[in-house]
Formats: sequence, structure tokens, C-alpha cells
Amino acid sequence: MTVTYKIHPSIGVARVGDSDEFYLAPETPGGLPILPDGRLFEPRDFRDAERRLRRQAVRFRVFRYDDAHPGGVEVEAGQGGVARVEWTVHLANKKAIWYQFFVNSGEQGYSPDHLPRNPDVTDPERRQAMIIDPGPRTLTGPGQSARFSRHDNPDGYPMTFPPEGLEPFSIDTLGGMATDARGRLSVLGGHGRSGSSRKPPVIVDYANNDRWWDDTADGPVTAVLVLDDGSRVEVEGSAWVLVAPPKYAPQIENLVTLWDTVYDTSVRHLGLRPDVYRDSLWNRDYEVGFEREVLPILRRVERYPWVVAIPPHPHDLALDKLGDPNPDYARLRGYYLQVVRPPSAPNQFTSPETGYPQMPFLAGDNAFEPGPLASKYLTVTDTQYFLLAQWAAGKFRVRGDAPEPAAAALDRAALENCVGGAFSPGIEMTWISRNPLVYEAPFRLHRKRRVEPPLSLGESLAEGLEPGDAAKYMALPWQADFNECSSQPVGDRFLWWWPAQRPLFVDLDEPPPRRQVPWVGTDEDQNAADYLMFADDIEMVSGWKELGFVWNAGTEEKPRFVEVERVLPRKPRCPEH
Amino acid sequence: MSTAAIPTAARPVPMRYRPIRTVPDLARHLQWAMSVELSTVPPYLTALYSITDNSADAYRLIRSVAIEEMLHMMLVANLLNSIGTVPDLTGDDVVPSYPGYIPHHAAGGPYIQLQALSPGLARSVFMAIEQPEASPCAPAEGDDFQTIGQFYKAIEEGFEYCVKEFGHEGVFGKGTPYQRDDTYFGSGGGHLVVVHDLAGAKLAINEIVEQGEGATHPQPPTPGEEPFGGYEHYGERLDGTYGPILGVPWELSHYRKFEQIATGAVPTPDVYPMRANPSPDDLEGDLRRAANLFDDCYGLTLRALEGALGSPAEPTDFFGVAFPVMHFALPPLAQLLMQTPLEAAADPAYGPNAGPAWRYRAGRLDAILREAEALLAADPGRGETYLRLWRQSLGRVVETLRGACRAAEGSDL
Repeated sequence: MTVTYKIHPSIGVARVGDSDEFYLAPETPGGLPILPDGRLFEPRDFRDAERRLRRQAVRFRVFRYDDAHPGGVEVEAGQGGVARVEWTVHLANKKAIWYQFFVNSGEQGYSPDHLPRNPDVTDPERRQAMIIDPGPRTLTGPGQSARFSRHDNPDGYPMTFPPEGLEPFSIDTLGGMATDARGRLSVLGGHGRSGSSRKPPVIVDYANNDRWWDDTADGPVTAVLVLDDGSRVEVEGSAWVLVAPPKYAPQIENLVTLWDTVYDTSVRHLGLRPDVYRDSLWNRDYEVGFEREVLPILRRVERYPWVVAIPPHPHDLALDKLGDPNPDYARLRGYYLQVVRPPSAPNQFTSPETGYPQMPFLAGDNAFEPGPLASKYLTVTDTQYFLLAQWAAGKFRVRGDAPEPAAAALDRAALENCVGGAFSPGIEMTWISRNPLVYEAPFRLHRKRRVEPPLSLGESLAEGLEPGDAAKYMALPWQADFNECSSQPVGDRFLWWWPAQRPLFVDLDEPPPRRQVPWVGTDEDQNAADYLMFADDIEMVSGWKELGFVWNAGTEEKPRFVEVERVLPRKPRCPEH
Repeated sequence: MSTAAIPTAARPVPMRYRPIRTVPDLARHLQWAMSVELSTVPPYLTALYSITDNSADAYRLIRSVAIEEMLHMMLVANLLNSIGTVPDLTGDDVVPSYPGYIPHHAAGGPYIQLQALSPGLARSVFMAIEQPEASPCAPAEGDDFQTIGQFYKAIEEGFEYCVKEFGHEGVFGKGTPYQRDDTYFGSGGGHLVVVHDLAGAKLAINEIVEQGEGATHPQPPTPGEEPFGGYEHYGERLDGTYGPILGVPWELSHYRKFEQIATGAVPTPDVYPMRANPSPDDLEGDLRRAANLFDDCYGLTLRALEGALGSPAEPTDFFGVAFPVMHFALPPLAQLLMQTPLEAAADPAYGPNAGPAWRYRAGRLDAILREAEALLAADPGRGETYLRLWRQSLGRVVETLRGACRAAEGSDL
């Protein structure tokens, strides 16, 4: 085996915060963020001393793969012949010039009547100027830092930034980067500032608002190893950083995570698991590992009632029985499988066999536009469904999963803490994550090798992604969609969107009995405009940083999730009483 | 007229109420409660199975009630086991027969028939079964009760009295190890409570009465008045919209659910035209055998439940047999019968069609499987369309019974 080097996590996720301070992204699925000083994370660490919301940085490391380390081993600067690591990051935000986000229309290619954002601006140079592109930054050794700021341009790059004086918030930076003593890199995103050049700023749509910008971004992370003899080795496996909104319930995972979605694409299109799927055939003899492949999905089910108003009893699963190969429980497993909506039936609300509403009880990629693209309800991925079906059929083992290599575990953790659907548009990344053409290897986005300014107005997936190409689909500003995507009427039901990222209802930190209240609004009137969201999306542009986080005040086995660190005053219920 | 002339004893005094004074009497009442709960399940399930579209709202409502009635059976079983008595689910005086009355109800209560769902059935039978007591102060009533809530009040007072009189040990000291907390899962509200003391007994009784028969007089809560104890449910809200609601007794009570069907607020979906109170004797030959097969499976379910709720026969009796047969064998068999016209030449869309009789049969599991396999291989002579339905239905039944046989190998089912 030749020696190769790769960066992990292959896709890392930073999150915005209005503070200059930061913590590091969790490096375990559903784990707590990591404090740079090594102290255990506590609720007060979500905010700084001024109660501003801290940003989530994401930490990248280089791993070496060789015969002795097929699963990779971390490379540290100053050790094993590596003198230092040179890191380069190039973030950009292309939202203002990409197509309007209109549910899943565009996933199979954009039609001629599909308008771009800011359609009145047709001059290519003017459109290119609407891209936020601070250019690349390189750190050549440990203990260095740089900013992706309009006021910090070391190489004279032809930067483009939105006009100054946006309202309500102007944008001067997309974040920054820093290396630690061991040669690891941390990338920071923006401050959650969004603004418009129009006065007064008005938000008219959940995803597409002209003359608006936000300071989320995405782009490649590359590295070069400088060896002790001065020679340079390019790290072959480059990474990508996504800058996303905060995840307000870090310890609660979505039923379908972004890892599940990318894994599904990798299994079905990139040949990642020929033992599971090969030549269009599912291996029906595949023995599922219960603890690795099934139990996490079941645990996610159990935690949803802490972030949304759903009956806890049906979500309280008998995990000991469901992981017991005793044939007595075969029908119990079959019963739960019937509750799962098959990926082939995204418009099916109830099971045709039982009449039960199927799960997940979440809105789908296209919950509100009828027609051939309708996809009203979220489904698990094909691979998730296959694994569940194998388990239900009794083809599973309880123990014996090989431990996951540290490098792969970092990839998994980063993406398991993200939304894997519904992509309408989603939180961190949208349906483009399902497109096999955006990957050069499983979990690794295909990076365009030569990126010259100005950044492209279009894209060629064959050439690869430029900075800004992975997240340019997302809502502009993100706060608009984040506000509106609370509950969704579909038929005569209300469905939810992403309760683990954006809670709907939270428990107050009070002695029992549980008291669940709307996360955003007032709980007096279920039909009030500010019940589950701010009445006007523009309130979220400043209000997001005052909302509370959901924190497990119980134990792993007996969790009790409560709201912590909310700054926004909650209107008292029943003021007349 | 002076106020002194108004009679003060306006409280109705039941003529034959004898409060529970001994632990055996408490057990006797709990066993009656078991009969009462059991007697509600077949009529509810018959109405449920009669609905042709299982995604209908009415289907969802009735199923939630039927499932919660089974929770009540399990709660009563735990109460019985807590005082050292194993529940009887198969005795001649326990298994209900139809048409009939609610066991131990004063004046019988509603006349319970097995019928396809209709607003009239929901109003005159189901709402009457779940009739709330006249006021929160309605007195306890034992044998010859007027509302089920008052009957449970007698049981609760019986527990209180016995614990006071004979002490904790005297009531709960001989509890069996057969209480279950794992046989109630999936949709449906409430929790299965394991009972070891008076507080647990009261909690279990409260679970029963709050959900259905309602010791709480059901009425819509005033907005802002209900404590925000937590969103426990998802359903019709006070303003008529559908969404997360508080777990208040009114919205979730069985009485209210049936009322929605009775008033048409929830439309009655298409139903199979089943004759009232069907019997295997309505049919001949293989069709009669299929009707008997349903009763076999019903009897098997009761025996398996009796084992699960009163013996160390876990997990086979419940998870291996009772649960699969209830979920995967009874519904297709009932719906096969409900699509079988009594007259060979009749249109099954107009009927009258056959249906499940819910008569206890004591056939053994392996014999029931052999009978189901024989029927699957038979052609009942009702034409090709019917034969397809016959094979689809019996195929599912055979598959379920085979799984149950594998699970129950060596048991005495």
C-alpha cells in the first residue's frame, strides 16, 4: 500500500455565533461541543461573558494511511518526519447568484423557467460582485491565524464583498482560521450577520430574498505537509467546511442525518459497501450489526419528544427486546418496520397494512407543491430502510461490530450532527448531497483543482466544486427559512421540519411534572402568528442569537432535556392571571 | 318555603352497594373489572374491522380506544397480581357473549351488539359504555354499577379500606411476580403501571378512569385554565384544528372520541355490510370453518394473554403468540368474513355479510395452524375473485400462526 494523506473530518461543520469566542464542533455523534481549554462543556459555555452566542469552530487533522495503518493515523507537526502542516482554506458565499431555491425542483437539473436569485441583475460582472469571496488564506505553521475579512487581504486577492452598510447587519467577514501547536486547523464561520442593501430591509420569502446576504459560507480545506528535509507532500484527500446555523439541541440527532444521506449515496452509487449493495442488488443475506446500524436509529426516535410536542409513549421503544434475536420478538420488529415509511412512498401518510401514520412524522422534500415532484413526507434513506428490513427479518447480530477507525469516526460525527432531510432546503446542505457527481470519494466532495478569481457564476460538476458551491442552494438569508420551518400543514396534519436542529417545543428546567413550551413563541394561543416562530422572518435575523439550547440534564440512559441559556424573555402565559 | 324543607339527602343512594371490605372481595371486584374491560374489546374491534379504509380518521379513533381498553385489561391484571390473584381471561363467566350487557352493570347498561360501525352504534352503544358519571361527586358503586368510573371508585375505596384495615402487607404481601410493564407499546396513551402499594394501585386506577370511562366529567377546558402539564398527544384541538394538544381528559376520553363519530364531526367511512351479531352457524362448509377459525384465534389470544398476565410464560405467550395473532391474524380473518355474503349469490358490497362471532374456542395452537393450512388449500366455491381474497387473507393467517408455533414450541398453548 502506498502512503496517502487525508484530512478528517472530510466534511466539517462550523456554526455561526455573534460572539468572537468559540468552541469546537462535537467530535462524536450527538456529543457535546469541545472547549479549546479541555474543560468539560457546561450550559454556560454556549455563550460568552456578555451572553453572546459563541461560534462553533471545526477542527481538521491530517491522517496518514499506510500498510500499518489502513484506518489511518493522525499526523502531528514536529513528529514522524513532518516538520509542519501548511493549511489553506477558501470560503465563499454564492447564494445571491445561484438559482432560487424552490423545493426539489433543480435536483434533476434546472428548467428554463427556473429563475436565479437577483434575476434583475444580468450583467455577469455585477453578478460576480454579489458573491462573497474573501479569497484563500494559508497558514504555514503552528500557532498562526487569519481572517476571511474584507479588511484583511494579505495577497491582494480581488475580493468581493456585499456593499457596506447592509441593514440590519452588514457583513465584513466570513470568519477565520487558526492552527494549534500540534498542527491541527480550526476553521471559524461568520457571526450570523445578515443584511440587505434595500431600505427598509424586508423578507418576502423563506428561501429567496433579493439584495440580501448572509455570512454563512463553504469551501475547500487543503493541506501540504512540509517534511523535515524540506520536501513538500500535498495531502491528497482534501476536506470541505460548511458554515451553518447553530444546532440548538446538540445532543439530539435527526432520524435521518446528513451522514445517513451521504452514506446512502456512497453505498448505492460509489461502491462503498459491495457487501451491502452491488450491481443494483441489495444483499439480502447481509447480517446487520444491531449496535452500529440499527440501535442509533431507534435511539433517535426516543429523543424526539424532547424537542417537539409528540406523545412520548409511542416513542418509548423496548430497546432490550428489539435487540434480542429471540424469535418471540420477530413480530415486534415487524410491527416497528411497518411504522417506517418506505423511501418508495414519500407521499404515503399511513401504512396501507395497518393504517398507522408512518414515521418519521416530518415534512418531506416537497411538502407543498403538488405534481410529479411532490414528496410530502420525509422517509428514511434506502440504505437505512434496507438495514431496518434486514433487522426486522432477523438478519442481525447483536455484538461483534469492529471498532470504527478514528478518522472515519470523525467524518461520521461531523455529519451525524447535521440534517439529512428534508431538503427543503435543509440546514447545513441540501439535496446536492445526494448527487454522486459531487463526490470524488465517499464522504469527500470533489474539489475543483484550479480555482481562479472571479469565482464562477455556474458550475461544472465534472471539474469539481468551487468555494461556495456546496451551500449556495440554502435559504437566503438562512434566518428566513429557519424561522418558517417550524411546523408545516400537510393535509389536515401539522408536520415538523428539523426539531433536533431547530426545536419546536422545549421543556423548562423545572421540577417535574414536565412543562413543554414553544421554543420561539408564546404558548397561550396555538393559532397565534408567534406561536412556533417569530411573526415576521426579519425578527429571526436578530432573534436567533437569543434563543435557548436544549441540554441533557439527566443521564445518557435516562435523559431529561431542558432549555438552557435562553436570553430572549419568554412572554408570561396568561398575564391576566 | 324555607330552605330547611329541602331534602338534604339528594345524593342518590344505590340500593345494593356493599363496600369492599376484604382482600378476596377486592379480588372478586377486580376480576369483574377484567370482564368489563374484556367485554368492550370485541364490539370495538368489530366496528374497527368493519371500516374498509384503515387510514380513515374514525379507524384511528376507534383503534386508539380499543388499544387503550387492552391497556386497561393489563392494568387490572397488574392490580390483581399485586394482591396475589392471577387473572382469569377464559372462564365461562368471564368471556363475554354477544348480544349482551355489560357484566355487573345495574340494569345491564347498553345492549351490546356486534355491528359494523355507524353513528348510531357510536352513540347508543359505545358512548353509553363510556358514559361518564353524572358528577365528580358521584358515589362509588360495586356490583350493579351505573358507570364504570363509579365501579372503579368502589375498587379504589376498597384498596384504601383494606390497606387501612389489614396493612400494606395484608394486601400486597402475597403479590405474584407476574406483573408486566412491557406489554403495552406503540400508539395509544397512558402507561402500564406496576403496582406494589396503595399509591401504585391508585395510579393504575387513575390511568384507567382518566382515559376512558372518565371519573372526570368530560367537558371542554377553558383556554388558559388547564395546567400546561405537557403536550401528551396529537389530535383535534379545541379550535377544531389538528395538532399538538394537552393531554386533558376531555379531548382524549373514549366518550369524546365516540361522540365525534356519533355527531358526524368525524365522518363515518365506508363499512362492510356485516349482519349484526354474526355466527358461524350463518355459513356452511369451508366458510363456516373460517368463521370458527376466527373464534379459534380469539380463544388462543385469550389463553396466551392469560399466560402472559398471570404466569412466568414470558416472552413467548405475549410477544410470540398473543401480539402476533391480535395484530396479524384476527384482522384479515375478520375482514375476510365481513366480505363473505351469507347468500352465495349476493353482492358482497350489499350483503348481508358474515362476521366474527367472538366465541371462545379452546383449540390448541398446532391444531389451529393445521386447520388454517387446510383452509388455505381449499376452494370455498365462491368464485375466483373471492378465492383470491380467501388466499390472501388465509395466507397471512397461516404465516402468523406458523411463527407463533415456532415461538410457542413446547408450551401448552
